[in-house]
Amino acid sequence: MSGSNENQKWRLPEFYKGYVYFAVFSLLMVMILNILIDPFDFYGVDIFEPYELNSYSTKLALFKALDTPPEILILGSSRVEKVDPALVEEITGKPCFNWGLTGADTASMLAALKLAVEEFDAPVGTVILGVDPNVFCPYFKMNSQVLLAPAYSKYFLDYPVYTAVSGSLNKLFSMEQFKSSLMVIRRDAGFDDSLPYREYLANGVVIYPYREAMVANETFNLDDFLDWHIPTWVETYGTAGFTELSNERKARWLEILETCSAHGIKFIVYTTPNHPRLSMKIEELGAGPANDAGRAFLEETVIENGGVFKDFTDIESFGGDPDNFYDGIHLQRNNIALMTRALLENEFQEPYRESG
Amino acid sequence: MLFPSYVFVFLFAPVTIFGFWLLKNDRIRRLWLTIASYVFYGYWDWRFSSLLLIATAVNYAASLKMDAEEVQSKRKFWLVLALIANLGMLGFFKYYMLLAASANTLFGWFGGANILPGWTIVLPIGISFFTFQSMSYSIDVYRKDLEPTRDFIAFAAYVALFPQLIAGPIVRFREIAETMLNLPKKITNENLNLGFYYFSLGLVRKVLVADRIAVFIDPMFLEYQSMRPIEAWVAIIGYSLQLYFDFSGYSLMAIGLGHFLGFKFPQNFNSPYKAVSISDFWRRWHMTLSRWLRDYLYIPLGGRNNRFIALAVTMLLGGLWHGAAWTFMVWGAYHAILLELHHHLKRFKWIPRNVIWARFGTFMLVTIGWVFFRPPTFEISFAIFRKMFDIPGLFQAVHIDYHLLAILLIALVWEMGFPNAVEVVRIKKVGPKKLWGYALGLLTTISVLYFSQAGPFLYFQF
Repeated sequence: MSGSNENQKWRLPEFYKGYVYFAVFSLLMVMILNILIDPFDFYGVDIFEPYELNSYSTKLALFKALDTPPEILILGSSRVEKVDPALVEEITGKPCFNWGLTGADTASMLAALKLAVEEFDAPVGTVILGVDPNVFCPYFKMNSQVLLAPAYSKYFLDYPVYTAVSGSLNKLFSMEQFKSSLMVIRRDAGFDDSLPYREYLANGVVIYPYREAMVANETFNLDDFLDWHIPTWVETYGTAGFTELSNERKARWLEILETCSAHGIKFIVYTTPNHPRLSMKIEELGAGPANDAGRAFLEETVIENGGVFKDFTDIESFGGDPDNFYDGIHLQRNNIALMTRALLENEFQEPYRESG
Repeated sequence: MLFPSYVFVFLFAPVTIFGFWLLKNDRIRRLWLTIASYVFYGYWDWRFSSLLLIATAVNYAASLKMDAEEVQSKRKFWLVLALIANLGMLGFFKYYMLLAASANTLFGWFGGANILPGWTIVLPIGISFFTFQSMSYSIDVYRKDLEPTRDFIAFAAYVALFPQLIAGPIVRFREIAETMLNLPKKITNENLNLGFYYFSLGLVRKVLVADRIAVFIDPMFLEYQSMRPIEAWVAIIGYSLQLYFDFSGYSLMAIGLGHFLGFKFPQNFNSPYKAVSISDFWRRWHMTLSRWLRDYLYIPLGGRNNRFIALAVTMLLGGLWHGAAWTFMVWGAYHAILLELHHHLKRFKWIPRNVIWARFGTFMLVTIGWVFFRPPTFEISFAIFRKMFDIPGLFQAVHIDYHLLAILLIALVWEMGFPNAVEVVRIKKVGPKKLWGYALGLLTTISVLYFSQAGPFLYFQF
């Protein structure tokens, strides 16, 4: 490029030395801050209370700490994390654990299932799987939390190593983590007394202290949360281009069903409900046919393998209330209870595999 | 592999650059550069590296044959062979699907069956850039403007050179031949200064400006049906700036990486939105492509002596170069019409003399043109046009995120109010100080924090 020789000042080393020192120094500072504060509970550094729990390592720890091993296991993404094992126990009389995982894809669900029945030898007789057809989207990103929870990683051996490395780096040097580290400092310095976003009970069910407090004191405005969620839907269903199902993700799904069959486990599968506004948006963004194909694939494979399938995408199917959502995909307590009853009440009249 | 990615910044670039300067033998250094460039390209899909190899082998062999021949017709034969190979690759991978869909639709209108199979062909990234670069070499040798190199590895390194391989600048061999054939032995302070300066500025333009704009305007374009007129204008002005900051950011990063390896690549943008006319815009926008089209298409078609035809063909093909869709050709036609109009208005001295008005008018004309460029179909382009010119709707209340307005304002002020990156280097009173280093180091760190959200370069698809 012409011009480089026209200004002699560019031959002095001050600029690049200042640049390198400052860039390296500030990157190191960010790295040290993010590791020490560990806002997403990735690295197991327990100096500070995390800003957001890593559901993968938390669920594993809760499962290991159970006094009574579960006979019913709930699997799926954050959309199922609110399904309350206590209610399931009340309906079925069987101990239950919710192993729903944030942003779980079919591979993560399979890993949780294998950990429970193969590694910990839990006497699971029934698996409840809540699945959204979007889980078969080829561009659905794997949650990097799982790559930082070592117990799961042996089930991801066919994922390229660099995915794990870049996943870790992504988080270590991400703005999201840096901001969250600063939020932890702010909170612990006493400048922020807001309630945590998410917590887990011993049976694995999630509670949302922040949002639930808003609901309790009637300051929760669903429309605000739906509006806030729209860009995520646009990215998930529109920008990413969900037009066909991923073969790899379908294969993992079939492996889940095969694992259940191999262990004599009954499986009850439902499609997770959407808020009516999200359903309309999915159609608008052209992802309707792929969603339908995903749903049809789920139904076909579940029935072929002798399982139970229920389509709860439309909340009317279980008498749900469109106002009883936290956002487009996460149900509040009443909707969850209605859905759980509709899902299970007719399914436990006949004896199934005895526990133990 | 993207420049704004952890694997590139923390692994590929340092290893490649350190290796290049640590090696002593020039032939091995060129081989190192070639292998690194193939790894860079193959990281996306290694199978398409074979296209690079074919382009290299064909142009290398044809150029040596041309050089050895004295008979003009035989020289022409080898040139035509090289052009067929380059254009054949480009045509098949980039334009076959458009050709098949158009031909089948046309025949369908007359009740005919499909005449071409409807294959789905993956577009190899950067194919438009490396085929044009290879063709320039063969044409220059044919014209005897360039002595072909006998060093195959040097030529392979030139074709595959990773900084500019997939999105330009389109570099001609003669521009880097001296450096490529006599590699510098030692990296200088000037190389390091300019390398960090251009690379970090490009990174900031791409990650902190273009990608931040995209976060807001991509959903707007996806929901074009519900856009209101003001939103449509904000979206298209936003795209105008996003595209420019994205592409010029990539070019600056490429130029910076070139300096780290001792190469000086040509400037690709010269503040195009400061242009005072549409012809001025084309002297400033994607300069290496404009120059390529001028030298290898416009002038051979007759240039000024056959202005109307030469201009129309050049702009139509230039439009189509950007993508396999008729929308790109219409975008090219739109600019051909503007250039023709400008030519006539200039003759009658009907050009605004006030620089501010001239710049504003040119910017708006260019921005309107992007309405053909951004959407994938005419249907969407026309829907956006209808929104933009829905005069009664202009008074409807709108909700536009103030963050977007703030970024657009920063981008406009940066572009319109300050000298560009290359001009800064030329200003003798201004010198790179340690404080600049700190500031750019900090901005680089912030850019790195945004890597996980970085989108692909818009010009990759071209």
